[in-house]
Amino acid sequence: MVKKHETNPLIEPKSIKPSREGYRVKGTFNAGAAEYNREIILLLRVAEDCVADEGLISVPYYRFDAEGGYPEILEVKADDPHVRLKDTRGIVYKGKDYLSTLSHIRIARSKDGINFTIEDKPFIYPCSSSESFGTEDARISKIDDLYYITYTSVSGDGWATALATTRDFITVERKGIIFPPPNKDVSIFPEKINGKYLALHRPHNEGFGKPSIWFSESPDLLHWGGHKCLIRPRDTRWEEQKIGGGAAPLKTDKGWLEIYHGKGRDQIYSLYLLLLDLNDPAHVLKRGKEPILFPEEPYETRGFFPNVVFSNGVIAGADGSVKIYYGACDETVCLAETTIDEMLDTLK
Amino acid sequence: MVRKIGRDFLYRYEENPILTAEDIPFRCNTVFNGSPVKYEGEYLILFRVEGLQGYSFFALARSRKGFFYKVDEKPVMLPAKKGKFAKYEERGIEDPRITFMDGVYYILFTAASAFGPMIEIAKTEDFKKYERIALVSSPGNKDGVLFPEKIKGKYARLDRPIGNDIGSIWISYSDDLIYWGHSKAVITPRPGYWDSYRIGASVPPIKTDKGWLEIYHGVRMTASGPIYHAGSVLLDLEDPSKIVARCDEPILSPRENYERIGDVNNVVFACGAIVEEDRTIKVYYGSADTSICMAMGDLDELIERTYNG
Repeated sequence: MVKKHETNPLIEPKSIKPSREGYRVKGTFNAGAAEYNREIILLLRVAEDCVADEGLISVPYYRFDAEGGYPEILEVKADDPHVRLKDTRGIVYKGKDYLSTLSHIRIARSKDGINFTIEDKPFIYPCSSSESFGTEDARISKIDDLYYITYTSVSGDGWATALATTRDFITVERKGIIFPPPNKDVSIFPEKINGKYLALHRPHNEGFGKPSIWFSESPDLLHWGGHKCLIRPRDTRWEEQKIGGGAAPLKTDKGWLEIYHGKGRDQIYSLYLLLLDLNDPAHVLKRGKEPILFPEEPYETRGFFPNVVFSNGVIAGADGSVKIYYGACDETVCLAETTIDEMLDTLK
Repeated sequence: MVRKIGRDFLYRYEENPILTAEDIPFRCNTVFNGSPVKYEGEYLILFRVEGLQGYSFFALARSRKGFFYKVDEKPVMLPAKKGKFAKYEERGIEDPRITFMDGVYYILFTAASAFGPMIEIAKTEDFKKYERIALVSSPGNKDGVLFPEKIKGKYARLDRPIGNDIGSIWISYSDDLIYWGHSKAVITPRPGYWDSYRIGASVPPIKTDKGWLEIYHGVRMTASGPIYHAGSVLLDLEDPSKIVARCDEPILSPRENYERIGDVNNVVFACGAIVEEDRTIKVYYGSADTSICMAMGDLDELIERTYNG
């Protein structure tokens, strides 16, 4: 039904140039996808760390001024009394948090959707203190002639979702935070419905059940309201921890088709289908009973974060074919192919 | 009234607490976190009552002079039982904050449910009829306060998104009170201080010539649990996402027995204030999640003190 591409993974960390000397690319994954100028564009999340010399701890951080953000390296002796190791994800130095990897967003371009050329320069680079821990997981929606990009903006104040726009995938205009923390996995529907822009989002609220997929509406894409809970995780081995939306929903004649992710037992991620009413997408029509994609192949079960498949980029062709780009193990970009009809068939 | 010299900038009303469960004409567990307003020559407090079953709702207290209050016979706002708000108010409504603007009293409060706390907005013009407007945040947010006037043509609010060890005060803007955006972190906890763990907006911002005066609550986590203090900060009049000055010291901390001991110990939690003609500010606060109290100070001294850090 869903066929994983034989040349997977399509993009690996070794194909990416670090954003500065002294940084190392640890992962390139969770790519947003769009068609532009007869090319497929991926907005890759590129995660970088630093290589430390013997006896030293080396972590990346961003410095900001009015112009933007700059990659820097904090290098301290491993036995420095001011250093406290948090866990593998970071350190605290003189009371300040540092993460061991930081992400930004980079463009990859392809004529065939399989072989990609990756730009050397970052596309959405952290530019302010609200992005001091990185920019992650872009999702692209084309509305009229403008591409709207949502991405996770991470800082000590939590992870929030910001909006940016582009017409040409060369320049990008930032619109600021649209969903304050803790909120991510935001995808915007590709058209207005009943006069409003719509989005799926995933607030996270500790202590009040499992993170779920929510629905919001907006008059202008900048101000959001009308928050409603759409679906909560089911108590199954695939969804028992949390769920979250994927790429922008695809319009089909049966309804809006969304590929979302579930995180289940043993931290395994998988992809599921959700069908929403065409005219009232807050109304759920169908929800897949089994995952359409889950980790099986070595590149999905072994890596930086094993057993993760996560999709935030989907391209639907005029012929009904669908390319699902997905991140594997928080390390590589992979492709799975299917069709709208085949996906809808599984919901019958 | 005798002014007690204490450790805190604000001095307590001698007859504190001004409202307890004993003053309520129906059975309830506790009363706390009330927002005061002057309306038609009376002082009103819209406050949180925790029912014996554990869920909260709102009642209204009235006073001629602002010291002795009488509580209306019936609650004035109960959790919605039907309609689109019911699902998100299933576990009660909490912590109202009133802002008066253009003839309307807007009430921001917390809607509690299995989905987590969300900020909701309602309005009243007469404290008889209350109308819900919208849920204005995702779950995982509370302590919403509305600015009493539009800023650069937009409504503005402070709030406190929470989760994953975060707890800063944010600002958001709206054209219509329904759809909100342009969110930014404004005030963050200060390591080592009384407000090192979490902070949240408390009193709806008060306009002063030195900036918007915000009385907020700050939490310090200690070996015996959290301690809630009240503190003050001035935000830029034109761009309230900018801090003009922030006071190092709290203006009120739990010291008296009624603040130290209750359903939640060691809490002073302001939800509103009244500025009198003589520039006295009366801050109404919930103490130990068990009663409502009042503390006072000179507004200009408070501004000065905050301005000087």
